[in-house]
Parts: sequence; C-alpha cells; structure tokens
Amino acid sequence: MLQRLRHTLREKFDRRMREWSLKRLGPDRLPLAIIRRRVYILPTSFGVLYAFILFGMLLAGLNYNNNLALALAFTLGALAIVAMHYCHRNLAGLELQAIESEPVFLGQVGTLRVELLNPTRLERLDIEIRAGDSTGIIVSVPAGERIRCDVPVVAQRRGRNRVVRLALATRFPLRLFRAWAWAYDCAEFVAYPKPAGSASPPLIAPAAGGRHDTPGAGDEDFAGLREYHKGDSPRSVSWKAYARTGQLLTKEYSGAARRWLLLDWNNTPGADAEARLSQLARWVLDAERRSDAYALSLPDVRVALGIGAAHQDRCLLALALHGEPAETVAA
Amino acid sequence: MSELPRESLYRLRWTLLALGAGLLPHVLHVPLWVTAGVIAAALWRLVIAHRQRPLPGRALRVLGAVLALIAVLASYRTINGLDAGTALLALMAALKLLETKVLRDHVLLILIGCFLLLAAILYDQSLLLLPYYALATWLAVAALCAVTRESGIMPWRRAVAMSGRMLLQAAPLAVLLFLLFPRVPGPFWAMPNSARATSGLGDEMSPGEISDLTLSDAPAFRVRFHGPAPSPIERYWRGPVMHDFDGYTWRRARSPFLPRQPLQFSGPRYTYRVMLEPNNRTWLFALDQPASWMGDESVFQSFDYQLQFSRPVTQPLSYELASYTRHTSDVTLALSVRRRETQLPQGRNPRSVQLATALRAANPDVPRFVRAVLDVFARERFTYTLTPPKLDQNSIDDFLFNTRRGFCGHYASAFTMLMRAAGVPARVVTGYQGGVYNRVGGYWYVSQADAHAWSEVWLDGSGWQRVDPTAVVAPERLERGLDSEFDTQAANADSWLGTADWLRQIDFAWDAANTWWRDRIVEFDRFKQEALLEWLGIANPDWGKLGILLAAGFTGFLVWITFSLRRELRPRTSDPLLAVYERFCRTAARLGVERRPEEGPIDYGARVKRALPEAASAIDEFIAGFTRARYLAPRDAVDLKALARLARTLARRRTST
Repeated sequence: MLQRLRHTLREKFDRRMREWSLKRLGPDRLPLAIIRRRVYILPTSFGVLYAFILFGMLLAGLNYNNNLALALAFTLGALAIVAMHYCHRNLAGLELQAIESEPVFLGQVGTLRVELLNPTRLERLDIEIRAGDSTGIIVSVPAGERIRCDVPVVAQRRGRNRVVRLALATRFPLRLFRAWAWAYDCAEFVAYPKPAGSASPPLIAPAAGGRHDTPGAGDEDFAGLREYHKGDSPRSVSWKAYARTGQLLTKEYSGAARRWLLLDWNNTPGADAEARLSQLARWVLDAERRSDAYALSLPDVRVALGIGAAHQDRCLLALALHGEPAETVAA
Repeated sequence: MSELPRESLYRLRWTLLALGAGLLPHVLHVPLWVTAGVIAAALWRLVIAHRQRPLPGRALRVLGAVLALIAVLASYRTINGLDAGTALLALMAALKLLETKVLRDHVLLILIGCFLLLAAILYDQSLLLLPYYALATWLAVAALCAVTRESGIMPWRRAVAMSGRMLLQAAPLAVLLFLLFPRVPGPFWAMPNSARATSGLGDEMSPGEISDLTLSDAPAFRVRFHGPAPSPIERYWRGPVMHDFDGYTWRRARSPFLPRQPLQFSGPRYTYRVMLEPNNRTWLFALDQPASWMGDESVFQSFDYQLQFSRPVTQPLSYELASYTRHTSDVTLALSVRRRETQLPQGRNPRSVQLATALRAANPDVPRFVRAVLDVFARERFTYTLTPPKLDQNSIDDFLFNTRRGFCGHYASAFTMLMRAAGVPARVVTGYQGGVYNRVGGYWYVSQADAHAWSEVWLDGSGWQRVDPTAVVAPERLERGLDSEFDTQAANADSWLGTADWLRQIDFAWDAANTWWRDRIVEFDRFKQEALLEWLGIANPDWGKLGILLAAGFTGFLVWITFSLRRELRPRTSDPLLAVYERFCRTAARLGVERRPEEGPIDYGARVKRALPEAASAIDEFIAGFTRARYLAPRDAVDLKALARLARTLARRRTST
C-alpha cells in the first residue's frame, strides 16, 4: 500500500520534472551539452549523516568552549561546501554526443551505446549513466576525450521503447552530494516479442528429404562471384579478389534451406496478439536455427521468403512493430 | 555489489589510516586494553582481507559489543563523559571494522576517526599538537577521497593532492566561520568533572608533610601589564587564603560568610591581563589587591579578597584586572573575622605559644611585635631549603626549636601561628611570587616554581598587611626565582659564548608563540569577537550584524569558489585565436544562433548576421579578421586583441538588449 503510494508519488514527481524541464530548457536533442542549468544537486544520505556529525562536533566545541574543536568542525563544513562545487563541476560541461541502440528481446537486458564527450581540460571521474530505472554503469571521461560505453536498459514492452529519461549522475568527490542531469526522450530502442510457444510451424512445401535451393538469395553458403552492381553492400564485395584482379566483384551466397515455412498470423495459435507474436518469434528463431527458409505474413505486413541474419532481423522487427503506427515501421 | 579484493584491501588501508590518526592521541590516556583491542581488531581485519576469509559472524560481533560495553562500564563506572565516551567510541569503531564490507561502512569509520580526533582536541588544544591535528584532518579527507572512488582506484598521491587542494580552498570559509560564528557562552549541559591531576596550589597546606618539594617549570599563568610593571618585591600574586589551622595543616575557610573589610587604595594602579592555565580549581590569581576586574561575569570576590570563579577552570582563561599594591583599611575588624583569624587548636605547639606570649608581653605594640618575631627568624640559624625534614604532629614546635630548615610554607605557617598565639589576627596566603619576563612576547611568565606562601596580619588603622617571613630568611628568594639553580646556570651560560642565551631566546619565542596561540585562538570568545568587529569598523556589534557579515562573507566565498573552479571547465584549446573564435560562437549561440557542427566561419558569420542585422558590420569585420588570421596571414601579423574586442562588443550587445 505504502509502496504503491510511493510509486505513484514518484511517477507524479517524474512527470512534473519532465514538464518543467521541457518548459525551462526545451526538448532535448542530441548532441546535448550538459550545461550548468541542467545540473541538479542534492546531498546524499551520507551527506546528511556528515551534516549531523558536524552538528555534533559544533555542539561539543561550543559546550566545551573549545575553539580548536570548532575550527575542525568549520573546516569540515567548509570542505563540504567546496565538495559540493566539485561535484557540480564534475558533471557540468560534459556532452552527450550520441546514443545508439540495438534491438533486444522483451525480458532481456539490452544495451544503449552512449557516447560522451568531455571537451574541457578537467578529467571527469565516476560518472554514472543510467537509463530509466535500470541499473547504471560508472565511467570516467579523461580531459578532452570521447568515450563510448554500454548502458544496460530493460524493455518495458514490445515494440518501440522510448528511453524517457537518461540520467547522468556523479557523487565524486567525497560522496557527500549527488549531482545529476536528465536527458529526456533522447533514445529509443526496439524490443522484439519474447519468443514463446511450442506449436509447430506450418509448411509451404515439405522438404522431401533432399535440399532445395531457395528462390531468393540467402547469406548462408558461398555460391560464387558476380560482377559488382551499384547498390551492393560493401560488405559483400570480395576485397581479396579486388586486390588480386583490380575488378570489383560481389560475393554471392545461396541459402541452403531444408524446408520452406510460411509463418502466417492467421494460422498461429495463441490466446491474444502478444501470445501469437511470441509464437511467431519463436518460429522465426527456430527456423533460422534449423536453416529453414521462411516467409512472414502479418495482417498489415508481409516479408517474402528468405533466410539469414538480415532476414531474421527484418521479420523480428515486423513482429516487434506489429500494431504500431505505419511510419515507424517504415523507418 | 561485491568488491574486488584489491579494491577492498585498498579501501581498508585508507580507512585504517584515518581511524588510526584519530585514535593515536588517545593512546596515552585510554586504558591499555582499549588500545590493544583496537589494534587486534585492525590486524584481524587485515588478515581477513589478505586471505579473503569470511568476516566474523553476527553472534561474535554482538558478544564483542556487549563485552566492550561492560568493560568500559567496569573501568569508568559510566559510559558518559569524554573519557568513557572516547574509550567506547574507539571500541565500537574496532567492532565496526570487523563487519566492514561496503563503501558505506568505510566512510562511516572515517567519520568516526574524525570524531575521535575531535575528542583528542577536547583533551588538548595546545600549539604543539596543532600540526598533528592538521595532518590527521588532511589524512582523513584524503582517505574519504580515496575510499569513495567508485570506478577504479585513486592513486594515493592524487588523493593526498586533491584533499589538500580542497582543504586549502575550504580554508577561507573556515576562517570566516571561525571568526564570525556566534559564540554562545557557557556549557549547555553539565560536563562531568574530569579528575585529572593538576599541579599547583591546593586547598590545604601541610609544610610538615613535604620532604622534597619538586619544582616544575610548568606555567601557572602569564601576565601582560598594560603599563609599567611593579618591582619584583611587589609582585605577589594572591591565591587561596588559609584560615583554619589544626596544628599541622592549614585549610581554606569552609564557611566563607564573613564580612569583607573595605579597602582604601593608594600608589600606582596597575592594569594587566592574566592568562591563566587550566588548573581545575575555582580560584583566580591577582596582583596583591585587585580593585576591579573584567571579562567573564562569573568572577566574584570572597571576604578574604580572593577572586573566585563560578566553576573550575578547565580551559585556559584570561581576565583583565586592575590592582594596587598599597592599601589601608581604617575600619575596625569585624568580631567574627577577628575570632576566626586568631583561632588556634587547644594544646598544640605549646612551646611556640609560650614564645609568642613572651614576645608579645615584651612588645605590646603590634608592629613592634611583628618585627620581634621576624627578628627571631633572622637571628636564629634558620635555613631555606627545598628538602626539609618531615615534622611531627606539633609541626611548629618541631620546626622552630628543632629542625629550623624549611621553605616558604614553613615560615609562613610558623609566623602566622605565632601571631595568632599572641592574639593578633593573621592568616596564610598562598600564591605566586615573581615571574620571568619574556622579552619576545612582552609578558611575565609565572611558573609553578614561583609558588609561594606568606602571611597577612591585621594592623589596627592600616588593615590587612602582607608580611613575608621567607624574605627575612632568604631575601634572594624574592629577588630571583625560587629555583636559584636555574639562574646560576643561566648566568654561567652567559659567559659560554652565549649558547644558553640563544637557547633561552628559543624558549622565550616558543612560549610567546604558545601564548599568542592561547590568547588569540584558544581563548577567542564573544568579547574578542566584538573587539574584532569594532576593529573592522562596526559599531555596537550584535548578533544581527554578525549574521549579516557572515552571510555576506559566505556569499563572497561562494562566488569566489564558483569562479575559481569554473576556470577548469574552459574548453581544451591551446590556440588563442581559436579561443577568441569560440568565444564569438558562444556569444552568438547565447543570442540564438548556434553554430552547426559542419558550418565554417564564413557561412556561420552570414547566418549570425541575418539574425542580428544591427551588428552586421561588427560581425563582418570579425569574420573577415578571423578568416584572414586563420587561413591567410602569418601568425605574428594577427591583432588578437582587436579581434577579442570585436567579440566583446557582440557580447555587450546581448546584455544591453
């Protein structure tokens, strides 16, 4: 009960802060400079304890009329003020340059690749980066350098997940204060449906023992070289051949599928849409593992028969974005 | 989050260092078993960390805590107060050490170390220990820096440098707080009286008991005269007055509800300041007869003119006084006082009583009788010595007719007893006599070796007058110090190429430094605070003005620290030309035209110009100057200052709009 109340209060507070930030600083866009106006700071629990102990020292010094004891209390108090400025400064001036994301299955911990730039001559130690409510990571950014780090992120739902709030925080030095800055809506990532279900997939044409070449090109087995056409991926160019002959040639692969599967939304068992999507995701992964060629048919999207990692990603993305606005699917 | 063994060991070492620095000053006064316990716990914890063993179980730790509590209770009879509290805190820190696992435990232990350091300061705030306290504080802050690093390990040099820098930056605010924080007088809660041994004068005096008077050069108090100082022969510092005699021991009056005889002063008035060492007693010392006193309002004067303090002097104490060395009292002595000051035990020291009665019969006039008694001391073979033989129960008889060897206490005691035996009101006054002048500090240093005892006799018509029988026996005692050996040494050494004089100078300088420290820092109170404010030109300082000044100073500090730290936030550009350009970009960005990453100076300048048509010429000039300097002209032909000026005009425009 109390926890729920706390949760709602917390949510309300977060929403308020977000609205306030939007009003005060405008929508956040990358690259985002953590200017001083963005940095908030409050004492940590240790800072509060420290304050209590200093108060005790002050009382003892006054009670015993001991000026040196007072001097110690004042020195430690002034130190806290200096530490507060150090802490604030440790964050201010950093730049959040870019955030890349990779798709993740719902229920698994994914990563955001965050790029931080420290354009100043001050080394930034112990910067915590945290996406939403996931556990953060702690990094240091040397003076004038740029670092990339993987920040764990947990998908809340299938489909496109916005990282509502990316927090950069620091308690350096002395841990008396925690300075933080929030970047709102700067990153998103796709969560594939969680693979589940145990039904067997429907077949288009049963593979009668032998191997059938797929009509579409796959990327499983190397088939040969052909002339380079504009638009071919540089990755599929045979650079070895180029070095030998000076001619651009593209490597061709043929998928070696055992079966052809049609993964059709309408033929998928499942209590609701999510269950069906989970089953379809399971089938996609199974098919890929068994080297079966597969096509996907959803109410609004169709993916032609194919095989290979790129095909799998295409299918999973279609599953992930099922039911979401069309333009996001196209993106 | 589990720690890596290397990090945990590293943190543990820093924590132990900080804790040890807080504990070290207590080793001398805490029982040995406490020190042993703490060291054992620290070693145990280190072994655990090195071998990566599990920490001791909860049951063991609880048992340890209970045992520690019982042991402290058994040895102090309380867990309250500074002594027992320190021992308990040290033991609890040792136990905490045995469950220290996460970062929070470490920082807590370092804070405990700081608190132990505070306790050490409460024990002793002498100048000698100041460097230690400063270093220990630094160490604690360095430990906090090192221990709180979250990713990776901070090299110890870096921790020391960083904490030192932070402490230096904190120093101005600390000084400000020290000078301006309102000083509340008096303790808020009763402090348990610590029964530490004190040297110096006591509540009673039994000369017969002492066979070896060891003199210490420890200070009793220091005096700074605001005008000329009285001659050595007049420098009698009155302390506790002894009234009750049982034939062997003199004691202070138990019931001091007696009338104080008014005094008429004459001769020079001496104004001075006494800086008293803590002695755990309630009496204050003054030159002869104090006429007025200033400072703490809790000073009062008892019927025998002795200055009293409302509580034991446990901290160094200073007070301003004005005294006269010449005084009379023309009233008649109150009967109650006369009875008191002539009281003697029945049947003790019969031979002395006989002597007194005989002398009094021959000299009915009191001054002549006093002279006659002093003549006895002068005529007979009395010796002044610091190693007198012990005396029997009739101590005065034994001394006057048998041993005839003694120090000031013996002579004052015998003389006063003879006076009383003849019906003349008399009492023993203890205090100090003399003092050494410190040329460096400009004050008189009165040490425990200057302790002295003399008599006061009531003369009708002139009141209580001082008689010092020791002066008759050993006049040189008053001219120099009691410790004549010291002076002969110094006199000899003067001829030794002046080495000892040089040493003495150092001694003087050190004592002067101590006195300055004591006077300015240790005894800084609200009176000195007010004096400081008045010196700053603030009339009638009160708490309100203090608060305003404190707030203003604090704001000033915040501004200073903000700007001094911001300097390091500037971008990493070493090229001054680029710095000027960046400044231009920053200003334009603030005006709403942010440079796109791919934009060159000419395109950007054009865009800024479109947004700020009124500054077009200045922008044109700047961009032209910058591009020429950057891409065309040789470096030394660039007029950087003119460019910077142009960038500034743009910045100024922003503030004016």
